Amino acid sequence: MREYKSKNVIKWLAILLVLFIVVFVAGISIGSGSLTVDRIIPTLLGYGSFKEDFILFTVRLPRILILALAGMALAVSGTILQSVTRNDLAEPGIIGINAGAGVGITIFYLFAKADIMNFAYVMPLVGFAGALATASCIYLFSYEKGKGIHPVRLVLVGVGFAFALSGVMMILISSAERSEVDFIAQWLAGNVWGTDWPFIFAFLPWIIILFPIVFFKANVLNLLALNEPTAIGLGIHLKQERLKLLCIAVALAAAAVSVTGGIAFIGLMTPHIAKRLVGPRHQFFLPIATLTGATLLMFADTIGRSVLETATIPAGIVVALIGAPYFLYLLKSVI
Amino acid sequence: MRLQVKDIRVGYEEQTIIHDMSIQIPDGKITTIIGSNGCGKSTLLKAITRIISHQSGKIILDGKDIRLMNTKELARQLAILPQSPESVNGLLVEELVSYGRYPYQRGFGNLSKKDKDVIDWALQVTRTDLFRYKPVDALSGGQRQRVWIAMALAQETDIIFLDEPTTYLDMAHQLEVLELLQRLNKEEGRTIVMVLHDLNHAARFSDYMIALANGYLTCAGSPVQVMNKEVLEKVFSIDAVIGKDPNTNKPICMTYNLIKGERKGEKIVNY
Repeated sequence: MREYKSKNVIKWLAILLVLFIVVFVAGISIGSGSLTVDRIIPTLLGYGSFKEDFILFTVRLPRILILALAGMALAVSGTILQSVTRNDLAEPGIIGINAGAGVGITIFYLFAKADIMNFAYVMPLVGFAGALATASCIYLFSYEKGKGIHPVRLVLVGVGFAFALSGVMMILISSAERSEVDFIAQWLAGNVWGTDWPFIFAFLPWIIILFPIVFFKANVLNLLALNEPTAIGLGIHLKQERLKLLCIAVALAAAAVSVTGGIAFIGLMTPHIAKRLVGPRHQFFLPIATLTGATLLMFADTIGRSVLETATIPAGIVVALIGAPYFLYLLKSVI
Repeated sequence: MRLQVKDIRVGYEEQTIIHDMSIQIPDGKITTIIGSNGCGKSTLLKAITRIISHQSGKIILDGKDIRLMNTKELARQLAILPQSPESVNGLLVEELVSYGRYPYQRGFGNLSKKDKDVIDWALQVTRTDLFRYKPVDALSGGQRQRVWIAMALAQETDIIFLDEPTTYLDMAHQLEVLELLQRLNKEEGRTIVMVLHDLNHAARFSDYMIALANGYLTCAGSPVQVMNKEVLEKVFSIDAVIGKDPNTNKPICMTYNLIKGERKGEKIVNY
């Protein structure tokens, strides 16, 4: 049965990998200025026309890669938050971490203005700074002396901060000039804007460094998700591990939304879907959640780019259209 | 005595729950902590197992202060089964029991041959191997309790703490759990420390009893020393009629009355 279960995991990994590739290829070929599927490989190998080269390497590939990476980061961040807070509704978007990153980036944008492209490498850091400041505030406000952090309190305080920060965004927007407002509004809607190679190179290190740490801590996450006394009894350093993992979750979410804009719900949905498929052990469901996150975000963006001929619907809005009903469904089953 | 509690004080903020208490836990015996609701028995158990921290005093295991010990190292010495653990959302019995091996694992958490053997043994001894591939949530209360005990056993510790292991179980399942603990004590020499509500169970299964009242130690000793009219009056404010269990020769509380003018509502005998 142990073997049966690993087979189940491998089966779902294979299915999701196929799905990932299908969506990846579709994402590259669909859109204004088409690149037919059979031309992708020749173009990749350097036999494409000038136009095909341009569409693939400058427009589509960086965009789809950013989406895949961001989807993964958000999925892992959501998983950590849900397991550490032992709350199925925790998610970087809902508890205000995305909003914190957003405020940081907006302020930065108001100073940097059009030079923003030159600051690609700084963006994840700015987002992280904003998100970390927010997360620290949430942590402080939900900290009870002698008792530490109560998971439910953390989520409630986070929701409060999310609202407060969107108020701050409003103030920033109303004081900004028209052209600047446009960028911020697009960011808020989750319109993926960091679709250039520098953004990928700025984002990639975060994933390469943080993912192995999270996967290495699968066992710790298992116990944190169980209950406090058991986790302590089994030799988990509760405060220390929680703090470390929360920081990683904040960093991943911040790095992701700093290039993609405010995308919520990915971190909420993917851990649930994955747990439903292969059970609640992180060794099993974390990889599944990661793949699902990437596929879902690429899918949402491709839909957003292709349903309207004249305009692009921000990926964040498409995700929300799928995610909001899922959230309601979850609320109904949790409460 | 490997485990000693010296003058510990435990409390939340201004409220002190355990007042400078000293206790010695006899090795290789079953020890039961009894007392009325809110007397601090659960708190004492949590403090000894470092689930909550104590404000002063020392808890000493093998001559070392547990506060100075590595928490993972300590997890190889003593296991704790918390009071009625919550749902585990689709986790299989075998998976939950395998979590008990955490103190022996490094990194990703692959199970070694030894880990697998210990898990098999823990499942067998608690007779949970029949449903090892079922989700824990699908089991009955008694079965679930045995699975949690199996997890604590997989931890391979000499000392096992249990906080009210029989709560919410029916009479037969209560006995099943207590007999399992007795077997572990007799056959494997494990030291068992638990909190029980049922006085007769406590007297029947334990070698050593600790009675608490209002955060102070009232009496500690053999069941005969603790289960008597005077101590029960102090601890529960009841007027108890103590007899002898014809099967085990242990003291038994046959019936009791509340002492007038004192608080009431303590349920101790569930026939």
